[in-house]
Amino acid sequence: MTMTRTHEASPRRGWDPVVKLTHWTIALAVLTNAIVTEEGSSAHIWVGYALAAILGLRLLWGFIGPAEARFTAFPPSPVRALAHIREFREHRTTAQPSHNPLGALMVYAIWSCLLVIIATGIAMAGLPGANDRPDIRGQEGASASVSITARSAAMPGDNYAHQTDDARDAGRKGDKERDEGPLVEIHETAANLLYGLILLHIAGVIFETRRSGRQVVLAMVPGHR
Amino acid sequence: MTVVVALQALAALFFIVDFVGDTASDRFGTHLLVEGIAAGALLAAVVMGALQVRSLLLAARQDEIAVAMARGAATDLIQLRFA
Repeated sequence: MTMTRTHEASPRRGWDPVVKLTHWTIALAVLTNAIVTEEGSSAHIWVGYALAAILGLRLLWGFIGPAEARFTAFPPSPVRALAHIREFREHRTTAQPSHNPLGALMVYAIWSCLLVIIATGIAMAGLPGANDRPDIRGQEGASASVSITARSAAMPGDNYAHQTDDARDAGRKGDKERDEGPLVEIHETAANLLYGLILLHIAGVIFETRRSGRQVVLAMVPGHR
Repeated sequence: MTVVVALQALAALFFIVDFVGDTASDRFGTHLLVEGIAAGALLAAVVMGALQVRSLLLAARQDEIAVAMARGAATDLIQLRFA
């Protein structure tokens, strides 16, 4: 079995700091919202907004960044992806200045999922801090306030913990009601799809590393040039 | 510099969503105007910062090439001198 390499004169360069920072920050945010924060919690929403800002920076970088980070360097092309798959069978590797064609499809799929998750998340949660605004809070918080007041009246000397429990219960009830909406379904489906894509992405990186060498994975390691 | 631009992006998003939220609930006034200007300035700073990072990156790459070429030329000179 022989493996042919083309364009060996130009060894692959590591990704630039903006690509690395946005890649790992987005990975961290997805991981945090998947396993650390509670769905619908304030922390979950804020992490989501931070993810939106960093994804925005990466998309901006796709227009103004260096050549290999631009969208024009890795267009979503199924034809090129199929040609790339043929390379596997022929045991050939072609040096890629940017994402390889399969990787490019994966990148666009992941970004699309993230945009759907962000859009539905914003549609469900509203703007950050909206619950702190008295005029917006009014209607939503009314039932919780009534509940808290009723309990306080019934139990003189009730402490803050009870009040927060009531508020939390009211919040959960509200969450349940919101759960019935299609937005939650889309949000959760897109999130599950994203986890699948991330697993495929990791599998792809492992496969490409075994095929083309460690440089594929080292290119995204912080501090590695 | 990259981290600063990323933090600016976070701050810009915070100001933009706060501005949009206030626009929905408040009447347009001086407070909103200042908030809008701050949001716009932060957004511009993100774009300018990203351009600055790209410029620094490209300059660093040019320097790397120049050093590599100089290193190659120095090797050639040494080989010529002692050949």
